[in-house]
Amino acid sequence: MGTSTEILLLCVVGGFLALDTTAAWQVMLSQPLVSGTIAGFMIGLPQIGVFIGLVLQLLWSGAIPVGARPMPDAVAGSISGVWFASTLLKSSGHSSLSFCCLLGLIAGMSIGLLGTQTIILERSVCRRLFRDVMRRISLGEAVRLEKTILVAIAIGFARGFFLCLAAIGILRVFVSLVQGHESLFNRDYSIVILALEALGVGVLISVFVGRSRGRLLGLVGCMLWALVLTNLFRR
Amino acid sequence: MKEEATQKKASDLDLIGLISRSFYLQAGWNYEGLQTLGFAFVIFPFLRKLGSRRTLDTESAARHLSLFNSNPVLTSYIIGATAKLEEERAETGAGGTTIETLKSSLSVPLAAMGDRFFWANLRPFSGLLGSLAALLSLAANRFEYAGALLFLALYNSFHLYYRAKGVVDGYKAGGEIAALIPGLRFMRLSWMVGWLGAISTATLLAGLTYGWTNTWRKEALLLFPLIALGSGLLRERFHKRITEVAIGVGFLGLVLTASGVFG
Repeated sequence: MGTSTEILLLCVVGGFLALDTTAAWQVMLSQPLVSGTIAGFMIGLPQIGVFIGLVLQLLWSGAIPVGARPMPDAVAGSISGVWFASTLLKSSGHSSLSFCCLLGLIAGMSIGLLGTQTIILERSVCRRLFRDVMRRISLGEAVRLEKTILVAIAIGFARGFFLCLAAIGILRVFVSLVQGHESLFNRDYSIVILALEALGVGVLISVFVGRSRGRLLGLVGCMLWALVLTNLFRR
Repeated sequence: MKEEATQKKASDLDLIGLISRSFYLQAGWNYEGLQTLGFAFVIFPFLRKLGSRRTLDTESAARHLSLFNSNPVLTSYIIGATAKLEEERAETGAGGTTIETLKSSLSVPLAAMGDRFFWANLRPFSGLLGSLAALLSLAANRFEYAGALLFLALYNSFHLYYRAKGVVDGYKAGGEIAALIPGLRFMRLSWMVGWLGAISTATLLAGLTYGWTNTWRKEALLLFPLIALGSGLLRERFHKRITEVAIGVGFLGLVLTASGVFG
């Protein structure tokens, strides 16, 4: 079920990557494709990490952090989703890949959605920091912004760390629950994964095509052309 | 006097300091001051150098802790210009209002351009190319890190370039920074990336359709593009709550498959 050290390491990486969401760098380490891949390598099943990260990346491509809009927590979502799918896969003796990936995706999306609330909470805590700075300035006290920013970064790390820890803690219970139902592992869930991937591509279509008829025609034309080419190569 | 003024000019090290601190612009983001804590954090060491003070004085604090929000990458232009104006203010003792006006007037156009280019086009496009590489790596059963690496390399080649260029160009332009904006060409870049994104989406759609029909069933040839195009065209209804929709689809599919309706 994953050692405590492995889980702790995943949570530390989760906290570190969560900083990239808003608090620091924003070099896209927090995107699901990247965090999912990192989690996959850490767990020892990189392909599961890449696959779950990829589907979440497609689904969340349209989530744009404009203004104060909170986003799904991609880091906690992808790390916990990859952990859940990998743990199920290892415990089932690698018998049902589609089932484990599907559960990992559902878990990852749900945790990502719940994580949005923690982002709002983090911003509210930072508001207190801001008010404290303003109060001290109005009183004429010395303000060291480095300290305030360090506290804000620590809050961002703690949010990512504890969200991953809580998510994995909850999912551990589900691992035990699912393991009791052997029949669930014997079915092929590929059609559901196909639908989720197609929804993800749909998000990309809405992002890049939108309401432009020219781009829509271009997209359909390119797709048909690519299909013809791939079929030619196949022969 | 002249020597003193020369000493106050920002060195390369000062500009590097501004660039490196700009990565923490959004630390402390909150609903009251938005990016203001981060902005003050970026500019503070520079003010300290100009004024030889270890803490913020009330006047500087009022200037740099007022409400501020813009695109985190393109804010580097404002940071550079603000540094230059602060330098001029330290020399002449006037110009505090100009700094505030510049910050508030530039934040909106730079946010509009930057959000459209970096968030709405470059990030999804980098993710899309990364996903294509990831799919190929999964098919080849090796180089699993290729997708993530390609994503990071593509996005950050623009991101890091504009972060650094923004501070340097902003500092050079100072109060004339507004004249630089029409030359930034982000609208054209967004348009180009948008078209490249549409073509790459078509490639991904075709590749996944081909992959699914090969590995699963022939029905996927119709099913996959239908769901993708359908949900893409119903963008208003679907994509505001795509996570909830996807969880619903996943859970419903799980129940139906487990109960034997599919499969």
